[in-house]
Amino acid sequence: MKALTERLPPWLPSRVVIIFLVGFAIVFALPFFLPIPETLHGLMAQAFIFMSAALAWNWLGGYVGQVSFGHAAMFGVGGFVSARLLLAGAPLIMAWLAGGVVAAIYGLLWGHPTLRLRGPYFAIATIGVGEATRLVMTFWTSFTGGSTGVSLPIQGGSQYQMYWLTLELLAGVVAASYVLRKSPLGLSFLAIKEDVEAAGDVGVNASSYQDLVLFLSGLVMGLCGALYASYFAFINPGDMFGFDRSIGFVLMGAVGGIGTILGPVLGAAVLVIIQETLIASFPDLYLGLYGLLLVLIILFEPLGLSGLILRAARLGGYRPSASVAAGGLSSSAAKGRSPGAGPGRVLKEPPT
Amino acid sequence: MSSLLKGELISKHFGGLKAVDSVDFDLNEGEILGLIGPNGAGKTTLFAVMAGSIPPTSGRISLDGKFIEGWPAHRVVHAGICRTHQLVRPFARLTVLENVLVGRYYGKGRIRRDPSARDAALGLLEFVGLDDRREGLPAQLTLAGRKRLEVARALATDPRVLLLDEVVAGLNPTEAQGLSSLIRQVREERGISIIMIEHVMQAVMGLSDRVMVLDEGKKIAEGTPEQVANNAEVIKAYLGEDYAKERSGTDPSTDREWSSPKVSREAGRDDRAGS
Amino acid sequence: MKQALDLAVSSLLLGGFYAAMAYGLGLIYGVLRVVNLTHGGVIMAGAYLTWVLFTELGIDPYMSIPIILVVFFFFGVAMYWGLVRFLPRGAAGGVQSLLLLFGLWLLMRNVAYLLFKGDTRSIQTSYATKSVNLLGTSVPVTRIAVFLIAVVVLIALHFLLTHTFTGKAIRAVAQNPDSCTLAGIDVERIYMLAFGMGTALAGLGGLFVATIFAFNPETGAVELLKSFVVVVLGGLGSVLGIAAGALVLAVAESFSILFMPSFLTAAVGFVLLVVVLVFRPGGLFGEKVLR
Repeated sequence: MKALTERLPPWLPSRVVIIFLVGFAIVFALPFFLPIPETLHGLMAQAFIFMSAALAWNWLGGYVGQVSFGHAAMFGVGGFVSARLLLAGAPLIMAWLAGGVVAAIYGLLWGHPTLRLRGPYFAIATIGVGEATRLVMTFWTSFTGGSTGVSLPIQGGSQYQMYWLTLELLAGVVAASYVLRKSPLGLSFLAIKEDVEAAGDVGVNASSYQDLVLFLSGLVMGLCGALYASYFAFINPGDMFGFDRSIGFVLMGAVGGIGTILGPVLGAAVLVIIQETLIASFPDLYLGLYGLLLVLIILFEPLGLSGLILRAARLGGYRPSASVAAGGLSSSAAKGRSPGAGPGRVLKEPPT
Repeated sequence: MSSLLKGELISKHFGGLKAVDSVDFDLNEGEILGLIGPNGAGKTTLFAVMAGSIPPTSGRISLDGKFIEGWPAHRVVHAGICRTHQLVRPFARLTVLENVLVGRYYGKGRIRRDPSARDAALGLLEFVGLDDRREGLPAQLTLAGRKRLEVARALATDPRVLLLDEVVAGLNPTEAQGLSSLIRQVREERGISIIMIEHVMQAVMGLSDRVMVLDEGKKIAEGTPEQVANNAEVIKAYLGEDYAKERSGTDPSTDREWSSPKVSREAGRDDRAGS
Repeated sequence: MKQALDLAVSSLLLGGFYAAMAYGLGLIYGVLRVVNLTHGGVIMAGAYLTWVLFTELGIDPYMSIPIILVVFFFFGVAMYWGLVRFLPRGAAGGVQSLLLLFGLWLLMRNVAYLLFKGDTRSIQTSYATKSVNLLGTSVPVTRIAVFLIAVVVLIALHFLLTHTFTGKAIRAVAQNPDSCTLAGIDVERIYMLAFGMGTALAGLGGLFVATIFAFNPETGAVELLKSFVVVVLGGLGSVLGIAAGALVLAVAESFSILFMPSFLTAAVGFVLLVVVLVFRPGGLFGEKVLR
């Protein structure tokens, strides 16, 4: 055991690995100890899918700082590619992986030129990409079935199959999130987020690294789309590629806590729960509720729900390192709030 | 001394404006070359071209015989040239140590994340006098501290050539002397060749082996500090009558008070006392 | 030949509409360096307000113009004073202001759903379906009205910005706010004014939309994107630049109808946006949009 610990890189403490493995084992083994009703473990599977998607969105939006309002494009591509392959008789895992890879390549196609843009320009470009994709895909009825959509063959397999498979995906994505955040590679992302030109001036190949993040993000989004398609056994382009879906990913990341690992997981969980509870009674309300939540969060706690947790932890004596604060938007939890009123020109040289 | 970094007929035009106009330069191995000139002369633009931040409109740059003009900034860094910025640009939400680590990891073509990376970064922080600030944020440093951080980060990329853009500007005389000594040490102890843009005359004249003068995009003089200081064209364009009168006949390179090593560490400690 | 004339006329009319619709977005970005993601939401709100004034009070849409301008001006001022002024500006604050304004837009959509349900509406005035013969082609009356009003508004804006003190102050702040403070200009007031004006113009854009197209609470996303295309294409420099950008977009869309279903022409704008952003972020006329 000690030998294993010594082989771990310095940024990966053994306690993290242990917590991760134990946590995974517990959740995985749950069905053996508690008989979970179908609705509940179905909901959990859904939650796992969206947690993975939110984490993947966050790699681009939170780690590198390029907020995308068009991630549904890759989610949808993954879903339909996988669905078509399954209908043609391909094995399950193969179809899913293919969906992920095609989505990743698609992401790279539009992403490589647009990632050069910073901040709002990239964001608006992604809205454009997302909407253009939706329109073209809806038009491409032979692939997506137009407004009637595509039905998938019902999969055999154990009752808890989706639960376990989605959990495995989530585990992989959480692990990847940790690596992408804490490793030296993650440091380059943060540097790119802070000042992409200065990063290049010390040797960081920003273009290639951003491409890498987008590729990985697209891969996972595509996988999530594929799993989602298999779970519901029916998809249509309006829903898969819709602006609302892209919005959903932004919300999960931003409300949960942009740039953190816990954040998107929390955000996704909350969104799925709210959606399930509200969708019956107030179908159109929850989006507005989230809008309100987003506004409040930006104004008062930019690190979202995980920021609130951080605040609570600090009250209990926990002192986060500066880099924890660095993960998200400049959080008022970690630093003092600067006087925001007035033409807030963000100074490059902080006052001495 | 052999030529390390050579630029031939470098021009950079922005539309009709000739920011840099057919400038030749030649940096020898182990040399400190000063780059001076009035505001708007094109010095920072020339740096930007050298460092790969912007491509030249025409001209060639070679490092050790290899042509590098038009290369993107990160590739130029990997080849061995690193620049600092006139207005310091630390990574604001990374700690001081992490800032230097970025340079250490990514300064060469392959990511250097060997176990000794952290020690190397700490060593650099010690060299510039910031090791006790390593877990803090750049915003908590004084301006002099942030300038030292920028130098440390650049050094972490293991450069052969360091381009310093007004590294002494905005500092009080004590801080400036400290940083100047640091620069001399960089050349002496690490064998790095340096080109420095500077307006603070005592610093650049005291440190440089040779000086190059730009005015309105063109090179108007080159030589030892003394030669340049007494050059009629330079005096006319830049130095002004007062300096010329005061210094006529004296050798500016004897301004040693600005460059002794012992001053560096004293000033370094004073920097840390601030904030 | 006749087809070319058809296209030319419809492009021109559409271009005028796009220019007026997009101007507010450009103004707010130019002065405050904030990308106003509520632009689409305000357009949608403007459309609904126009509709309400028409169906409840019987006011002809074009007569509502002063009401719309005033209401949305104050709405914009309130938005600025209550929220926008607390946001950090420039690149570093970009994500936060994006998300905040985006959240506001979501709220607006939801309020619209609550008040009006998701049904698609349109304004059925007596002349809504009439067309006139212009240079041999048949053109809906509403499009001509919108075009004429748009031209008048744009000319008025140009005059305002170049010949009045306030207008010059606005342009000065867009170029260099710090110097303006030194010159004694109350920059905060200018920001508030610009945001109010930009919102008012977006509301007016909504009025235009309501008279020409059908609309629902989803309306706005497409308009936002097209406005952005216009601003990026035309640069921020002048009314003329915006007009030119709008025309380019209108022509591109009109031509694409020849070989695509009209359903897809919106995609043309989006693709154009991405292409322009990537290859000529300075706009077609070299104005520095990405400062």
